[in-house]
Amino acid sequence: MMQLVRKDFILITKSYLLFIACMLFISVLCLNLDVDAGGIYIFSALLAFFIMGIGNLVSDHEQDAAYFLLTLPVSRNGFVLSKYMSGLIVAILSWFTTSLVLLICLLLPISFRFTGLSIFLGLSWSVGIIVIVLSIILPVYYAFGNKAIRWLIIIPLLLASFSSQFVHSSLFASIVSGLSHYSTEYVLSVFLIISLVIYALSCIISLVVVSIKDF
Amino acid sequence: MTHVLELKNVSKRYEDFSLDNISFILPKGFIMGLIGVNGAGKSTLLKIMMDIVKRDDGEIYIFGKDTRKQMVEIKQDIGFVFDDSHYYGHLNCDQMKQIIAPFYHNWDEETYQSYMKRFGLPTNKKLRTFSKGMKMQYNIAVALSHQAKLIMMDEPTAGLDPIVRRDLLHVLQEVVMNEEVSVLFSTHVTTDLEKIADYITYIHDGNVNFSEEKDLISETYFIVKGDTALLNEQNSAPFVHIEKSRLGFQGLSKDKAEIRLQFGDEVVLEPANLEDIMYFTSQGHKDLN
Amino acid sequence: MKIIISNTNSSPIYEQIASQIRNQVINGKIESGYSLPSIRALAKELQVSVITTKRAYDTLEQEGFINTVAGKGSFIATQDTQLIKERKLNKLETTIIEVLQMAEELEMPKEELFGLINFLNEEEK
Repeated sequence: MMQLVRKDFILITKSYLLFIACMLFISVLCLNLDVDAGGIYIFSALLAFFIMGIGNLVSDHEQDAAYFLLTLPVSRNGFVLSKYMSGLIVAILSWFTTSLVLLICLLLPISFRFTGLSIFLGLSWSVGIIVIVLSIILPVYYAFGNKAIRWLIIIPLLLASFSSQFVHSSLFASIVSGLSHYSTEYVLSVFLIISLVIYALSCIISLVVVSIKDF
Repeated sequence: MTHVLELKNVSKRYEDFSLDNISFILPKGFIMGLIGVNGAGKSTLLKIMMDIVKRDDGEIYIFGKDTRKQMVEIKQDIGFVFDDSHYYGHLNCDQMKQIIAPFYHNWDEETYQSYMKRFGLPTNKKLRTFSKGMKMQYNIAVALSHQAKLIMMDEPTAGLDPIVRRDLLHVLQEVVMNEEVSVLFSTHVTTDLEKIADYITYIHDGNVNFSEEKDLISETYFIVKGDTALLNEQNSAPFVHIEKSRLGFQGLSKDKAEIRLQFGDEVVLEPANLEDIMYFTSQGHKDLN
Repeated sequence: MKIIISNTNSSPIYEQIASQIRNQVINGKIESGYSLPSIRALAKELQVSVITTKRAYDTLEQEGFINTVAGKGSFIATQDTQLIKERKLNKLETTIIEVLQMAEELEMPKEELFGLINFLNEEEK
C-alpha cells in the first residue's frame, strides 16, 4: 500500500514545486497588507487542493490508471486507503509548507501578525478544509468516475464564497458569540477532530463502493 | 499442482451481455490463446481473472490459490499486458519503472534493462509520445521483469506491425523455455500468435465453445466443399454452418465419419483453420437466432 | 539435422517434423546417439507450439527412432538402418505391384503409365 502512496507523491512532485512557488509569491504580496498569517492558510489549503489534490486524482482516472493499478499486487482496500492517506499527507504538507514559507517571510522586512496560534489555526484550517472536500469528492470519484469529479471541483469554490457570505451573517455572529465561551484552541481542535471523523467515514464509504465495483 | 489456471463455472451478467459458466484449465508451462470475435467477452474474462471486474459466480484458481482469498499474493506472480497503454503518459520509462518496481518482491532490474535494450526503447522520452508498438513493448518489458509465472495479455498484437508482432512471438517462446512460465493471451485476429499456442479456448457469445489442444482442433474440424445440389434437409445436420453459392457450398463440420457416410467421395474435406472455425461458428449462431 | 515446416502442406505439423527426422535417420544423415534439441527449444526454433514438437518426439519414440532420458533429453536410438531400408523397399515393391495391377485394369499401356509417372514426378518438383 505504501507503494501506492509513494506513486502519488512521484506524480505530484512537479505540482508541489509549483505550490511552493505560488505560496512564496502570494505571501510576499499579501503579508504587507497587515493581515493575520492565519488567513493565508485557508488560501493555501484551497491552492494545495487544486494543484496537488485534483492533479493527482485526475491523472489517476483520466488515463484509466485504476485498471493498471489493480493489476499490480495490491488489494482493493489498499487501493482506497492509500488514496486517503495521500490526501491526508497532502493536507499536512500544505500546512507544513505554508508554515515554512511564513517563517521565511519573517526574515524579510514585511510586517504581519504571526503567532503560535496562527500556526495552529493554519493546521486546523489546512487539514480541515482539504480533508472535508476530499471526504465529499473521493466516494463520488470511486462510484461515478472522473466525469462527476469535474463538477465536484466547484465545491471548494462554493464553500469559499459561501463562507465569505456566512462570515457577515447574523448566524455567524451568534455562533461566534456562543463559541467565545470556549478558547480558540478548543474550537479549532474540535473542528479538526470532526473533519477527521468525517474523513474516516468517507473512507469507509469508499472502501465499500470499491469492494463491489467493476473497473 | 499442474494447472496454472483453473476456471470453474465463472459467470458474469450484464444487462445486455453475459458470460455463462466459463470453465477451462491451463496446464503449467504452456501457451493458451483465448480467441473470439470482438465483444465475445474475452477482455471481461481477463479482467475477472485479475479481480478488476467482480464475478457473479464461479471459482478461479491461479497457481492453485483461490483468487477470492489470495489475490494480492497471486498478482505478485502475474505479468499483465494491456491492449492499450494505461500508464501515466507524462512520465518516461524510468519514472514509470520507479513507480512499478517497488510493488514486486522479485523485481529484476537486469532483465528489465535487457528488454529495454532489446526493444531499443528510449528511457528519457515521455510514454505519451510512444508509438503503439513501443507502448506494447514497454508493457512487455515491465510484465517480464518480476519473474512472473503467468503472463496474461489482452489483445497484445492488435494494431501492431508484422515485425513487432513477429518479435513478440520470439520473446514469448523464450519465456516459456522456462517450464515454470505459462502464457494466456486473447486475440480476435488469429494470425501468427496461434502458431505458438498449445491450447485454444474459443469464447463465443459469452460461452466457451471449446477449450482444447490446438493440434486436436485442427484434426477435429473440417471444411467440406462440394456441389450445392448434394445438400438436403437431412444431410445438413452434421454441419455447424453452410455457405452456399452458385458454384458450390462450403461448410464446417466436426463429424468426419458422418460426412463421409452422407456424401461419400463427392465432397472435398480440408482441415479448418481457427479463422474458419470462428467464422462458421458465429454464422451458425446467427442461423439459430 | 534439418527441418523445414510447410504451412501449405496438408499433413499435420507434428507429422512433418517426425517424418523429416525419421527420413534423416534412415538415410544416415543423423547418426545414432545424436542429441536432439529439447522440445521447447525446437518449438521456439520452428515457431510452433510445444505440444506439437512433444507429439512429434512421442511418435518417434514409439517407433523406436529416439530415446528420451529424463533430465538429459532425447537422443537418436541405435538403428538397424539396413533392416529399415529393406522394409521400406518391401513397401515400395508392394505399392508398385498395386499400381501395375490398376494399370492393367484400366488397360493402360506400360509406356503411358511410365509417362504418367514421369509427368507426376515433374509436377512434384
